[in-house]
Amino acid sequence: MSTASINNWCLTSVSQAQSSLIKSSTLRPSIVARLNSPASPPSLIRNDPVFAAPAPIINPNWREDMANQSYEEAIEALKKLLKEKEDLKPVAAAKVEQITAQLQTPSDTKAFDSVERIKEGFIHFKREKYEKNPALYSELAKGQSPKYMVFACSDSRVCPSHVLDFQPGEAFVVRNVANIVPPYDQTKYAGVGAAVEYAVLHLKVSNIVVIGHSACGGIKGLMSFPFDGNNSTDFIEDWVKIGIPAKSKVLTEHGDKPFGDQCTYCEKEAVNVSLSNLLTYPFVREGLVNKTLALKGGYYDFVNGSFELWGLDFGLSPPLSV
Amino acid sequence: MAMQSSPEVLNPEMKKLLREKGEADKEVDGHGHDCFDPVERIIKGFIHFKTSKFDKYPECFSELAKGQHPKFLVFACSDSRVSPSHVLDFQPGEAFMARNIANMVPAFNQFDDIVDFAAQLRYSCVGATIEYAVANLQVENVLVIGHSRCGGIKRLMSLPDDGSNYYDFIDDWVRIGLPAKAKVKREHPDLSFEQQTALCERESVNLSLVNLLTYPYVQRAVQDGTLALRGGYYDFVNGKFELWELKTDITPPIVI
Repeated sequence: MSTASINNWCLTSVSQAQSSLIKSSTLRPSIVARLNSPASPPSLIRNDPVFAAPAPIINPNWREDMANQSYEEAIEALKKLLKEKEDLKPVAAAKVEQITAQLQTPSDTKAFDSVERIKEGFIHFKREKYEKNPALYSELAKGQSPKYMVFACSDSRVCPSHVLDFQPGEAFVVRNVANIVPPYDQTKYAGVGAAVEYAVLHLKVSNIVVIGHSACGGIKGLMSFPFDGNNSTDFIEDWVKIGIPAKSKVLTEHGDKPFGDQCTYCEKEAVNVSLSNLLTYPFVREGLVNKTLALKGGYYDFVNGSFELWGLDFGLSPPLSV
Repeated sequence: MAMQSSPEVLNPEMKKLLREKGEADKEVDGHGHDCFDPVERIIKGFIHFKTSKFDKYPECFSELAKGQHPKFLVFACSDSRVSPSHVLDFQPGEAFMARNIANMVPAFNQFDDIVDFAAQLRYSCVGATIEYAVANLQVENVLVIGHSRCGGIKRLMSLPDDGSNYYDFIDDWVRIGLPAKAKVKREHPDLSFEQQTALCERESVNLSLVNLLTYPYVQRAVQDGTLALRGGYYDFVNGKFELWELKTDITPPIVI
């Protein structure tokens, strides 16, 4: 059996006390700054050259979080002035109008920030990676031959390029809500089918890894929706219902557990359903039989900082042996 | 009520396969190809992430453990060379991502035409991603990124005109981009196949942006000015990135 060959493996977090020692304001990384306030200049932290942007449409100091308040104050002040000095009325009214107009164009400000963020991100990539490794990138320009196909959730916290440090060229990646692989169905699931087909037949990847994760919104939905025919969403229920076999199994085996624990079980069990579903694709089966392809399940727990990895036979009943 | 076969049903099949695989499994899972060990690679990758990011910035990751508030929904190709976490340096928590062949966004609510059965929703995979990101997470930007030398777009440009399929899935999937292909062929009939394909890599991004507008939550957010739709193109041959925006301004009325 394959059990022995699969390195079940788990890495757990270092102790909390140790982690907290590292935390200090001087060590604040660019990611922290970015995550909490994308408007703040990460260039100060990363020491990147500031991008020579075209003249901003709106005063770049205008910041979303503080804007409403300060403008409201300004308007109030002007109104007060208006009361005190009746003869200033036309001037002040014009000023109020102008400020109100500025207040009503927040989308432009957001646009400015987002564009800056994208420019900055690409420039960082180009300077730090693309231009530093011309051999790799000129090789990659000719073609890709990734060893992995990876299914991961669309969740912004679980990108495999970060979590497994996959570098350009290493992994062909599909990301969707709850990292679900549907069964072979040419009508309903052409998107995932096309990716599996392309990866296995054309690119000849040697591993397919399906990675679930902690606190998954899609799995929470799967566990919460009644699936009684009255859908409350346009797509989400229709999509996550692929995982119903996982939900049933968890409810049968852990029906007495709290909802949060059931979701955690289901996050892992849904990966197994996806691995099972992969077997409905003839080219996947063929790859397994020919030993050119292996299937693996993974689980990234971002609360505790651990990663579990298991093989195709995970979750199966013990093999019938004599 | 699930239409799928349960794992229990599939188990005999898996067992059979495993028996067929037999002893040679070790080679597949561990050391099948030269000296490359796929399990080792995954372990190393996670340890690197854990030591250089997760453990280094506990504040950031404990904040993220509570919830995500990404500003972007990004559509990118599954291609191994174009991960937006590299190309645009997106950090954990910044971008909700959908990755599929040729970064396609089909139009809202397309059903298959089989009459015998109840109409089945197609493309709920992409739909669920958009619905979750825009209606639930309320992202402020949707960015669709195309790229150079895209295999999916190449297949779209090579599809035979008779509508026949060579692949089980790929042909059907890339057909979402047919309007983009038609536009390129109509406007640039004299260009070479390669040039047409490169144009189509960008034009299909535009088609995706227009298709995005067919989703009610996208429509609403764009009208409210809380959501911007952007297109991008990553040229990994020349190391360039193009960025543009779909504008949906309504001009002031002309009184006649």
